Amino acid sequence: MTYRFLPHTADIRVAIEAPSLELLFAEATEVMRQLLAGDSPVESHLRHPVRISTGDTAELLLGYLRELLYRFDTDRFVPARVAFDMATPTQMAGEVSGEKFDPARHQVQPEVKAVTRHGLVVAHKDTGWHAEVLFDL
Amino acid sequence: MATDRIAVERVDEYRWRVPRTGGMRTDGLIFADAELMHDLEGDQCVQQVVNVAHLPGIVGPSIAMPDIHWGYGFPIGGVAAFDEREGVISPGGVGYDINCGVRLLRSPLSVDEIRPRLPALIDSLYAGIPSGVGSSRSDLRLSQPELERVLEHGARWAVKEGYGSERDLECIEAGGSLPGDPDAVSTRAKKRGFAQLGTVGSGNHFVEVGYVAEIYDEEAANRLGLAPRTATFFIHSGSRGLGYQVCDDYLDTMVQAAGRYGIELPDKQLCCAPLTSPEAKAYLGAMNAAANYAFANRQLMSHYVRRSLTTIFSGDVADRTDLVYDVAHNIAKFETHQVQGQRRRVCVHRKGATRAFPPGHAELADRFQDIGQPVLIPGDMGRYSFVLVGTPGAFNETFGSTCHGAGRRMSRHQAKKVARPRNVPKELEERGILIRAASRRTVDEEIPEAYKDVKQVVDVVHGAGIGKKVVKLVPIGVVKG
Repeated sequence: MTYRFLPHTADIRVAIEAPSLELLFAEATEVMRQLLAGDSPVESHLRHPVRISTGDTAELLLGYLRELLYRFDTDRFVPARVAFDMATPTQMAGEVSGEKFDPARHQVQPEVKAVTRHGLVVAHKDTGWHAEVLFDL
Repeated sequence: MATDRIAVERVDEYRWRVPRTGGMRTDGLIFADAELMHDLEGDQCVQQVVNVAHLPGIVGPSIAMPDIHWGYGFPIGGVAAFDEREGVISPGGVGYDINCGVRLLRSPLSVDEIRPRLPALIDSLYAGIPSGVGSSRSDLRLSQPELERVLEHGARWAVKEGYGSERDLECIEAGGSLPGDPDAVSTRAKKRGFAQLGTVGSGNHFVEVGYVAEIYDEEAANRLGLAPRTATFFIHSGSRGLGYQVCDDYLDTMVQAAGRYGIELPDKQLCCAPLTSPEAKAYLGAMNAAANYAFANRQLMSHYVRRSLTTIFSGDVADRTDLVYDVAHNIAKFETHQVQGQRRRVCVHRKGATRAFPPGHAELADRFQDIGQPVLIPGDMGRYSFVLVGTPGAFNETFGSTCHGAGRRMSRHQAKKVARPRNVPKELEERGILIRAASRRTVDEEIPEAYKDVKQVVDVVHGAGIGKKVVKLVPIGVVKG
């Protein structure tokens, strides 16, 4: 599994490849950690349950990333990893672990305003899952 | 010329027409000189101008300003007006940062009086106005009823609480207060808003100390109190997390609504609802509430600027630091305009565009009746910004709108790559500009060369008659997120 940043003039666009849906969400968690805390290590002291149910997988990923951003904006929670109780193309339930942002240990990053539907792609291919997401900065 | 296979015809030195084809309901109209137009080749924003022209009830052309760039659904730098009965409203036509905008204060001091105390002043501003991602205030956490009053009354709430004067309100678009509906704002959005009032945020937001370096229109400059070398304070921020959440919430609503009302969209990001629908009314109430939050946010930041001035300079410097104007860059509003000889009430979407009403417009305070509405156009942190005034040309051609800034020309990744081996704060200091920032990454991403030259953008709107240059401001100190 892997992710890479794609060219975009004003915002941040990311492509993610993963062999399974669980790993796609794990990689998306890592993308969010990177956007919120840069290269700083993030511990798993705190845990937040997460449960999302939507009509399709693209909306599922959008809903998950939005949830992480909301946790950061309200509680300063930076995600480190996700553990699943269940993951299907339209539903997921599990627990995200991470810690509170600490400016002494975590690199301050430019603000992510939103996770958008612009160019949002989540597709299942022979090799696994492929996703593209644009973050509004 | 063709921009990504879209035919574009040159109209004159500053105007380009995208002729109506296929499902377009109107033409596109782009304001740019030949060089700026050339820069748009390969960018999807011209396609976005075309996409907006497909929306139901659009009145007049789908307009793009010279600082246009690729946005979410609508281009940034886009203006579109919709008939109040047959048209639509779209959260993508306003953007995530609802009422992101700028305000300018002028002090009674000259740059020469500020300069010796500049390091202390910048430090005080940096300490007094939290900046950076998710920044919040420890000294101002709103209660639920207080937040509701902010959402309902905007800057008027702030003034009532002692953060400014009635005079300030005369110098804010819409008097700093729109008919917001707190009940249309979700609990999530409100939760994001409790502790972020009076904070700058991050990215291209800033508080900047500068001075009047050049005057183009002496009469207007005098009326605005912008004499040569007058020290100024420029504030750029918006509705923070509360506004982003309102946009997110109503994009979800509008995706459903567009299907329910049978609106065919060339791009899902243009999701919208008829202006007469309950979904539109709810969004307007929530958007106005978020806009009020932004007006109050900038009003509080002005208060903290004045507080810093009191700390650093003795006497009544803070009391004599007046608001020049405050304008929104991201908003949708009902306005009355002349369209093909008829007065029509339309909902004007301005996304990365500034209202620029002409002299004599009834919505302007008396103090602006003879010169027109001040228009504030920030540039990058190393060069200059401009103050303009609105013109009859803008009112006749662009629904009283003009450009909003420089617009990026370099991606954040490119900018970081260019800045990495350099010490950008030191470079700026050598040019007489002190910078304090919450993050090195923001400074690197915001290097001056990452932006188009705002002078080129402003010269286009001035040349096209949709804005009139008044003064140029040059920065001497910047606080960034």
